[in-house]
Amino acid sequence: MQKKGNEAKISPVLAYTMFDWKNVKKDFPIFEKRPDLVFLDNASTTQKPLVVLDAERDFYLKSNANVHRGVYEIAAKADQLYEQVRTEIAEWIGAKPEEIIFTKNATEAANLIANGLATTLGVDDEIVVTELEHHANFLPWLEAAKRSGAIVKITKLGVNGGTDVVSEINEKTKIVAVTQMSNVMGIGPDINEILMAAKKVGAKVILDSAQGIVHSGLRVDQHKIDAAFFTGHKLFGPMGTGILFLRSELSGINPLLFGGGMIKELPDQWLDTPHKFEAGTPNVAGLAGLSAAIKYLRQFDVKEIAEHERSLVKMAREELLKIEDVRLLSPQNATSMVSFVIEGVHSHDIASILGEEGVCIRAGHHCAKPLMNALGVTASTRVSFAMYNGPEDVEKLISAVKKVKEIFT
Amino acid sequence: MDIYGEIILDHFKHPRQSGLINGAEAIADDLNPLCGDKVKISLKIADGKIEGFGFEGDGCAISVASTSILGEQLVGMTLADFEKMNNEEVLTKLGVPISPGRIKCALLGYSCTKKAITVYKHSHE
Repeated sequence: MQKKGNEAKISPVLAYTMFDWKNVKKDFPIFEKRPDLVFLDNASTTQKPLVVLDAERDFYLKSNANVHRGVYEIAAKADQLYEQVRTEIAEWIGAKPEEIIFTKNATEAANLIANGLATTLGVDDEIVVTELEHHANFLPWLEAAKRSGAIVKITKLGVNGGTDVVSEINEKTKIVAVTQMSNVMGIGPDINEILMAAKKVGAKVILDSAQGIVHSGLRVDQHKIDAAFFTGHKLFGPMGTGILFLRSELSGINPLLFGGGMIKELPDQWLDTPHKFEAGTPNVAGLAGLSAAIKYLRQFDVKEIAEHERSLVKMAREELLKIEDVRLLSPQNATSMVSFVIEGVHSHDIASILGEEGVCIRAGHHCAKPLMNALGVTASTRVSFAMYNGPEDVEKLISAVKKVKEIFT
Repeated sequence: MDIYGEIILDHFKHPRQSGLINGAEAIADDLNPLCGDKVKISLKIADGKIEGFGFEGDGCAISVASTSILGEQLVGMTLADFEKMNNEEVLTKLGVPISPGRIKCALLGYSCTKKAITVYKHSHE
């Protein structure tokens, strides 16, 4: 068992067989309800452990009240819980509590930061993004550029999923917005290099951690990122819980949402950060679930999880390459996913056949059209692992892919 | 019944009326943003009747096969009869069960044809 506190030393070579994914799987009730489920769509959303479901239910059972509104006991409890989750997340990623803003998802968080920074941009200022970006870290910047007259520079996909961000950074660069880990390639650019180059010219670095945080962690005290965002549902928490880390120095940007719970004085004196960014009733129960998810995740060593997932990636890659006409798109060092195409078979047909075999994967453009164009495909098939997956899942995947080949040959 | 039955696979591998018609009276293109399927449809229309159907597309087996099957039915059909058609009828003609996630693929050719005919009718009013 890899839960922390276990004294046993596990060698990296044996980590694959030693990681007790079977026991981990027992924490996730969906696999009990659907024992045949082969869930390999974890980059899209992960399954939820029972502790997360319990935490959400517990809130509604015992202390359901709105935050920032009431003075009665359960309202105070809801407030306390809400701020407690903020503190826990801050501590987890090395931020101050007031630097943690709750949103409904990563997309909203990305829009908040891009919208807020748009007013700081001028004509000919440059925003650097990469071809690896998910649309969530792409379209908000295109919009920010449209409104400000700034220019979006898109760094090209290089060999093995790399992209040269640093050489695009110059005196005109004001923002560098990059993914920590591409949702198709399973790798990301070197953040340290980017930070160094960006800081030299005074550019802000925004990190899309939606995929990266669960596989590589995030420490904003070690990496002086200006803002980062992620979503709870990809790290075993509930849907509807997004996080924006916004460094204190940026707290003066405009809010994205206006309304209840964010105003000090009418018409436009906002509360201090983070509350000025959190208009409307937040997903308190969801955040209770997210708190449980993060505590659950933190029992494990993120490196051991990554090692386990890498072993599954290796196995899947080796087996897929044995199948005729399979072409892998993601690089060998991808942390937790394998993206591929089968020449002559559309990815949607692959997904349908795999789905009938109970193997859940994702097909399409993965909200990453610039990357699909760079790869020269209209769509691709993605297999993405989480810590509860095991070699048996890979075996079922491979036998289903073989069935695809049989049907289409 | 298997969605990838013989008929679907046959139409996917050997689509009928493949290729656009030169000098077509009605033409339209459409795409399924979900999976990037693209289709372009051209129609030869005379005296209120579809006399020719040609298409090209880049898509999944379901979208290509369903467009091919649709094309076979449409040649010789009057525009009035085409307007009486509906989604259910198009799906039924495929002869295989289409899961909710694939309905858009299966109806791509039909919706594109409707688009082409609407444009044609507007320009001939």
